[in-house]
Amino acid sequence: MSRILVIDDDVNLLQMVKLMLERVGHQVEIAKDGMQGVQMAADHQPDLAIIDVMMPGLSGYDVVRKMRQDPRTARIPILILTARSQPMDKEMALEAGANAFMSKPVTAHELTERVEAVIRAGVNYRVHTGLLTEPIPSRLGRPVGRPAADPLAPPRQTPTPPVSGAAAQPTSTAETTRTSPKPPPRLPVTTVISLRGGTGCTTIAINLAAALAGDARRVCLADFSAVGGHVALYLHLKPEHSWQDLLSQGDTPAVAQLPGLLTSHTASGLTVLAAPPRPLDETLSTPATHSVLRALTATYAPVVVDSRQLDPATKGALQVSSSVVVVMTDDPAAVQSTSQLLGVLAGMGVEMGRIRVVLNHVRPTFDVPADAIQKALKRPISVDVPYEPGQPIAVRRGVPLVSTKPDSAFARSIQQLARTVVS
Amino acid sequence: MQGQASIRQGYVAGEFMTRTYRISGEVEAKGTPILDQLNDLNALFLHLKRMFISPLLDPTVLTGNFEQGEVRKDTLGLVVLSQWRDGLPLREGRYVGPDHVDREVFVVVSGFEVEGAIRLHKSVNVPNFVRTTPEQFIPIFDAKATLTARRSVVFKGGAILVNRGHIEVFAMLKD
Repeated sequence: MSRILVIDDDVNLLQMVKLMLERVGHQVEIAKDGMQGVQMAADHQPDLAIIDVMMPGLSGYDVVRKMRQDPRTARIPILILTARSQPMDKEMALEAGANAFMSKPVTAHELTERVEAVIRAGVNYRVHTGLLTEPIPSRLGRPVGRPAADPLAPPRQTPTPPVSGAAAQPTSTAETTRTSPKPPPRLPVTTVISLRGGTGCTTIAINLAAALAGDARRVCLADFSAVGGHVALYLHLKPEHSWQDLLSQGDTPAVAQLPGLLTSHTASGLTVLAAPPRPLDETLSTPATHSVLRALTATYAPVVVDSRQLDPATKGALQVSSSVVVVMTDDPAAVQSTSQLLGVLAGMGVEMGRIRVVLNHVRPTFDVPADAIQKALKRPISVDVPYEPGQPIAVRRGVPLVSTKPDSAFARSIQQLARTVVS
Repeated sequence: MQGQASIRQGYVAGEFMTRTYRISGEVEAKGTPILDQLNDLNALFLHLKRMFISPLLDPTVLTGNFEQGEVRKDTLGLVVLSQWRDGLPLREGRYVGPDHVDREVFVVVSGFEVEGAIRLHKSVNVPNFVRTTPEQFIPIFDAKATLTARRSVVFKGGAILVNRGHIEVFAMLKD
C-alpha cells in the first residue's frame, strides 16, 4: 500500500481516480487545486503525486516545479495525468520534473500499473508507456530534497494532516529534514538482504550478480556476512583475503589495498569480495563501508552486496544502494520477518521505490499464497522465483544456475530481477 | 473510446485550433458525437467544458482557463482527437466498413500541414468527396498536423477533423 496524493480540479475525476487506486489497496488523499496540492505534498510527504496539468491558478507544470524546488517534496515521484496528450505536453511535463506522463482517458488497469511502476522506480527514473524505465541523468547520484534518515534513528512517524483553516505548521518530519546530515550519494550498488535463514538470499545474490555480469558488465559481488558468508563456498572459491583485512583500519580503510582482496570467478565472470572464513563479532563500520563501496564502484558497476543481518556494514550498504532486494520464502515466519524488515528499512529512510521484494520458492510445495503475502506486506512482489530442483547441483558444481541453465524458469526470473534493479 | 472504461464517460477531450490559439476542452458527446456537433448548421458555436487556452506559437503555456465556454465553429481550422473512434459521426457507415480503404492525403489548413488518411468506401473518389460533401468538417485518421510557422509544434491524433472551409491545399499522397 502506498500513500498517493491526487491533485486535480475536476471533482468527478478525483473521485474516480481515488476509487481506482483505493480498490487496489492504496491510500489516497485529494487536493482540488495546485496551491492546496503543493501544501499537502509538503505536509504529508506521499509516496507519489498524481497531478493534472489543466488547473485554474497554478497549472500542473507550476505544481511540479514548486515541488521539485522544495526540499520536502523534491523526492516525491510525480505522475502527470492530463487530457493534453500531445508529445509537446509530455516533453514539457518531463522537463518540469515529472517522472511519468499519462493522457486521459485511462483504464483502471493502466493507471494502477503505471502508478506502481513509478513508485517502484523512484524519483530518479522516468517511466514511459509500456513501463519502459530510464534514469534521469541529472538526478542520478545527486540526491535532492528529503534526505535518508539516520539509520539509527527511530522510524519516521506519519505526519498528521494540518488542522483545517489553521496555518500549516512545520511538522516534526519537516524539522528533522532541515537538521538531518546530508545523506551519502547513491552508488550503483544492489543490496540483497533477508533476515531469515533458508530463504536462498545468497543464491539470489550470486545468480543476480552473474546475470548482470552476463550483460557485459563488470560486476563485483561483496559478501558482507559476518557469520560465515557462503558466497565463496557456493562458487568453489578459496579466497586468501576478505574484508576482514580492513577491519583494523577503522572508519578510513586503505582502499588502494582493495584490488588485492578480490577473488575472480572465471566461469561466471564475477569478482568477489569474500566474507571472513570464520564468524566474527565485528564488521566494517558504516563510514568504512561507504569508502569500500565508493572504491569498488569506481571499477565495478554494479556491486551486488549479499547480507543477512542489520549490522553497521549492511546499514552503510543500504544507505548508498540504488536498489535493495529483499528475499523471502512463502512460509509464515518469512512473511513476518519480511514485514518487519520492510518496516525497519522504512525507518532507515530506504524509500519504497528502491526496494524489490523477491519471493523465492525454495521448496517444491506451496505455503502462503502470493496474494496473501502481498496483502500482508502491503506491497507487490516484484519477482516470483520458481522452485529449481537443479539448485543443489549448481552449488556442487560451483557455477550459478543462470550461467548453466539460462533458459530455465529460474534463470528467466533472475533476468527479470536484473532488469528491474538496473532500470 | 475503444471499449475502455474511461475516467469521464460521455465526454471527449480535444484540441481546437484557431489561427492563433490552441484551445483544449471537453465536449459532451453522449448521443451526439463531436463531428455531428461540428457539422450541425443550426449552431454557430460549440460548447466546451474545462476550456484551457494557449497561444499556438507557445502551445504548452496556459494563458486562460474557464470552467466552460463557447467556440465559434467557423473559426476552427482543425480539431485534434486522440482516439480515432471519437472522430466518427453517429452514422459511422460513411467512414467505417468492410470495403472502406485508407487513402493518404496532405492538407494545408489554417496554417497547419496535415498528413493522414481519409477512410472511405473504395468506390468513392476522394477529391470529389472533399469538393462536394455537404459536411463542413471531415475526419482525417491517424493524422499529424505541423504548424507551418513553427515546425516544432506538432499535434498527433487518432483523428483530426479538418474544416473544409479553411482548406488551402488538398492533395492525395498516393492514388
